[in-house]
Amino acid sequence: MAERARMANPRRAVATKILAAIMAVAAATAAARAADLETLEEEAFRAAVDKVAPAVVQIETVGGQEQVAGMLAGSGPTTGVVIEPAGYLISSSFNLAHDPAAIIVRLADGRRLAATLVAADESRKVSLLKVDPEEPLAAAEFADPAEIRVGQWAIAVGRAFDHQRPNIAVGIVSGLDRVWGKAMQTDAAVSPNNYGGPLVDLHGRVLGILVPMSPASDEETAGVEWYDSGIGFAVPGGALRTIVRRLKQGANLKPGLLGVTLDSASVMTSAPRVAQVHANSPAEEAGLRRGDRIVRIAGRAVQRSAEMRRELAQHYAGDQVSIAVERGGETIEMEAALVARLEPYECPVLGILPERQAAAGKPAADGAPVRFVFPGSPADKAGLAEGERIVAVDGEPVADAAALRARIARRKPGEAISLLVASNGQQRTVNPTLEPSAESIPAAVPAALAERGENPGETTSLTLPDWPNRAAVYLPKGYRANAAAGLLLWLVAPGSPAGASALEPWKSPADERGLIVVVPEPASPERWLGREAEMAEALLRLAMQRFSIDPLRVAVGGQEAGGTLAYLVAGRRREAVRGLVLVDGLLAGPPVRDDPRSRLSILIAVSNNGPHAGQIERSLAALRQLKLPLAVLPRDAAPGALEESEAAAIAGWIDCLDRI
Amino acid sequence: MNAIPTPIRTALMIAAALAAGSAPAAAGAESETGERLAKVQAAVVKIFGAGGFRGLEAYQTGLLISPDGHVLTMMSPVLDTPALKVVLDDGRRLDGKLLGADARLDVAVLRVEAEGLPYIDPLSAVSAEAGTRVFALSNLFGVAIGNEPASVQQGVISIVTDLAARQGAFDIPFSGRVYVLDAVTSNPGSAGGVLVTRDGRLLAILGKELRNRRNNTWLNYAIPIAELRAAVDAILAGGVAAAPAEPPAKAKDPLSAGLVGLVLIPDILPRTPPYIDAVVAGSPAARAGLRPDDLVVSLDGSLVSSCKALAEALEHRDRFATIRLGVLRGRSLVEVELSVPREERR
Repeated sequence: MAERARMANPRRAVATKILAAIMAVAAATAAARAADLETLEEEAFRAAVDKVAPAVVQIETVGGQEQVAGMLAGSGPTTGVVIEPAGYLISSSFNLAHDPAAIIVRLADGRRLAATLVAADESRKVSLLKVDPEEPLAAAEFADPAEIRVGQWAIAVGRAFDHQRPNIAVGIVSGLDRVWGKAMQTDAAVSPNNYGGPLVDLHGRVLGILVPMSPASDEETAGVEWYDSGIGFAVPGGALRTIVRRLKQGANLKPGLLGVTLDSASVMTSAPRVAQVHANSPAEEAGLRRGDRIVRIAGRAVQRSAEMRRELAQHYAGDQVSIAVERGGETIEMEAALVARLEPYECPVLGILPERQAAAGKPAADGAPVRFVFPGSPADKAGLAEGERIVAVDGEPVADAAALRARIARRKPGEAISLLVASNGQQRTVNPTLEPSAESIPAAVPAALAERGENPGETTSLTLPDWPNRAAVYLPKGYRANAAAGLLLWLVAPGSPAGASALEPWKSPADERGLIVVVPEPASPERWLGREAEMAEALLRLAMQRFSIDPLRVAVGGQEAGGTLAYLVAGRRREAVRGLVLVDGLLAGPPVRDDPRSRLSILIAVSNNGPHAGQIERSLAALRQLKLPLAVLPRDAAPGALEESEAAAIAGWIDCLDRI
Repeated sequence: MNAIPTPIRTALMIAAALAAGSAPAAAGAESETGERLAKVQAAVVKIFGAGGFRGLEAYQTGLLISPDGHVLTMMSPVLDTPALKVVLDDGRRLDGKLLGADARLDVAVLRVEAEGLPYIDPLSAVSAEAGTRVFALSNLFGVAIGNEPASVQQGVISIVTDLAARQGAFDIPFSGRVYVLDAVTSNPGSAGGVLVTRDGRLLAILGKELRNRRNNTWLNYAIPIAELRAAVDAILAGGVAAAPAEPPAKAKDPLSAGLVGLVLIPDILPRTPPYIDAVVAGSPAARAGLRPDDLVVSLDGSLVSSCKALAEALEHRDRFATIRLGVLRGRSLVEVELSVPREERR
C-alpha cells in the first residue's frame, strides 16, 4: 500500500526524498545538530522554489505612462508565470497598468520573447499574456484547490531582481476567500518584487498568483499600499482555470453589475433589501423591485448585503445569474444578465409644464392640459401651444399629466414621438423630437395659475422629538391645506444667521411660487454634523406629513457645508426628493442617480473664486457623466450670503420640477 | 496543524527524533537559538549621534568587532558629530570616536574606550544562499533603550543579487553583492544592524534605508561581511578611505541614434517608447536592416525602456563601438549588430 501511494502521490515522493536526505545527514553526524526541523524546512523551501522556478519569468516593458491612478508607475522588471507550454502566461495586471508599448518576457537563460496581452480580468486584476516560443516552455503545476488549508506554508516567488534567479519570501496561507471571495491571503512579503509571480506550496505547486488587491477599492493600483505588510493576496488557482479559459477568447473580463442599490446602513449587518432598481439595468430587466429581499444568488443563500456582494463578485459582465427574492411572503426566482457598465438614465425633455389639476380646481379633463411651453423646447419647435391638451402618445391614450410624464420618462433623448393634441374640440398630431435637459435655468416661467386662498404669508416653526434643532418655516401667501405647495428644506451655511431671519430672502419668491420653506438651525452654530443628515431626513418627513405638499416639487438644498449635507439627504431620501440645490456646496458621498420612477434634478450655484470652486467643477463633470438633469446658476465671484434674486431663481426652478 | 502537509511532517518528525534523541526537539532548538542570539545581541550596540530633525533619526545600530571597542556600522549623518554615544547591551554609555569611513561602501568604524568587550570577529563570518532562514538584529525605531538588547526580526534571504546589475535603480554609492530579505528590515535605526544565520553566525550588516526606484518600494537588504572586509581592514590600518565610486563615465566621443542613421519618434512623453520614425538611406542602421516602426527594446542585451533611456545608454558607447540593438517588429524580436565605420568620419 505504501508502494502504491508513492507511485500515485508526488508529494509522498518529495517527502521520501527529503526523508532519505535527512537519514543520510542524520547518519553522517552523530551530533546531528544540522538536521533540525528548521534546516529541513529550509531545504523544503528551496526544493519548492527550484520546482516552480523554470515557470517563473521576468517581464520587461518599454514605454507607457509615467503615472497610474495618481501613483508613479514602476518601470520594472516584474514577474509572470508560464501556465501552458505553448506560451500562455499569467501576470498581475498591476505590472502592465502603465499600458506599455511593448511587453517582453525574459526567460531564465536570458532569451527575450515578445509578448502580447491577450486579455485581462479587471475584477481579479490578472492578465493573460502570450508568447510564441520555439520550443515548449516549462509550465507551472497547480495545487489542488480542495487541499489548500489556512496555516500551510506558502512561498511567494518573483523574478524582479534578476532574470537568472528567483526572489522568494516565505510565509503561510493566512486566509481563503478574501476580498469578496476573489483572493487568498498570505503573510509572506508580497510587493512589486513578486506581483505576478506564484504563491506556491512546499511542493512548488501554485496556490495562486500574487496581486495587489484591496477590499475597499477597485482601482488599478489598490492594495499596493499593503506591500510587505504581512497582508498579501493571490488569485486562487481554482478560479484561474475558468478565468484563463475565458481570457483566451481575447475580451477583458469585467466585474458584472446588477444595478440595484441596497437599503442597508451596514453591508455586514443588514439584509440585502433593494432600495432602488436602476433604470435600464439587468436588475430591472430581471424584474427586481424596490423592497425585494434578495435571498439567493446563483443558488447560494445570502443573508447579509456583504454576502450578496461576495457572490456577485464571482461573476462577470455577460454572466447569467439566477436570483431569488422574497416579496410579500413569496419567493420569486429570476435570471439576470450582468453588465459591465450601468448606462446612466437620461430623462428626455418635452418642454412643457402641465396644468396642476388640483390647483386648477376643475374636474380632471381627458389628457394632460399644457400650462406652459418652454421657449426653444421640443414642444415649442413642434408647435405645441399653451391651453392644448395632450391626449395620446404614439397612439396610446394618456389619462392625465402623470400618465404623460411616465410615458415620456420611458423614452430616450433624440427619439421622435407622436402626440395627439386636442383643443376646442379639434384634434391634431404633432411630432416633437425629445431632447436632453438643458443646463440653463428657464427665464420668466409664469407662476402657476393657482386659485390661492387669502391667507397672508405666515412664519411658524417645527421641532422634532429626538433632536435639539428648531426649524423656522414659512408658509407662503395663499397657502391652503387642500392645495399642494412646493417644499424646500434649506440648510444654511454654518455661521450664517439661522432661525426666522434666514427665511427673509425666501419670503417673496416663496409667495410668488407657492413654496413652503423649512430652515432648521444647526445644533452647533459653527458647523453641521454628519449625523444631522438624519435630523434633516426626519424634518423632511415631518414637513411632508404636516403640510399639503405636491410630491413632484420637493427639494432639499443648502449653502456651503449645508449644501454638502443636502446632497447626503437627497441621496438617502431619493424616493421623496425631486430637486437638489447646492450653493457653493461640495458633493461628498455616494453618487446620486436619476430614475424614471423617482426623478431628480440638480441646481448648482457656484462662485468662481470660492474655496472649493475647482472641486465643485469636477463634481459637475461627474454629474454630467451620470446624465442628471443639471442646471447651473453662476454666482458673484466671491461666496457670500444668499441674495433674494438667487432665492427667486431657485424658487422658480423648484416651481418647474413638475415639468415634462 | 496543517502548516506542513502530512508526508513531510512525518518525515520531519522522524528526522527530528533521529537528530535529538528522545528530547522534545523543537523546544530544544528554540532554547539553543535563544542562547546563540543572546551572544550576538551582546555584541550589538546602539549608536546615538546627530539628527533628530526633519525626519532624520539621530540613532542607528553597530556591531562590536573587537574586544577593544571597534564598532562596525554604516556611514550616515548620524555619525556626523563629535558627540557620538555608544550604548552597550549592558547599558554602559560610552563616547564613540569615528575612526574612518569608506565612502564607496558607506561603511564606518567607530572606537569606544573599553576592553574585554563581547564581540564578533568579522573573520568568523559565513555566507548563505537564498532561502536561508536568518535573524536581523538592530535597534529599529529606537525601541531598545538603556540596557535592553537590540530587537530581533526573522525572515529568509529572498535573493543574493548584485546591485550593480540594476544600475540607476538605487541611490547608493555601493554596487556589489547584497542579501535581499523578505523581512521588513529597512527601518529607521536599522542601519549597522547585523544579519546572522539561525545558529548565530555572522552574515552581513544591514544597509541604510534604500528606495528601489524601479518599483517605488523600500529595499530590505544587508551587505555581506565579505564585501566589507577590505574596507574595514583599510580603516583599521589607518588607510585613506576610498572615494565614492564614480558613475560610469560617458564616452568622450559618444554614439547617438543619429550617428547610426536612426530617426526616433519625438521624445515628448516621460517614457516615450523608442519607435524608429525613419532610417537614413545608406546608414549603418539601414544596412543592418532596421525599419521604420521598429521599436527599440534593448541595447547590448540590456532593456531600453524609453527614448531617454536609449539616448543615455548610447552616451556611454564610443562612436565607433559595435552595438547590438534589439527591436520589436510586429510580434517578433529581431536583434541586429551595427557600428559606424571609421571611414565615415568627416
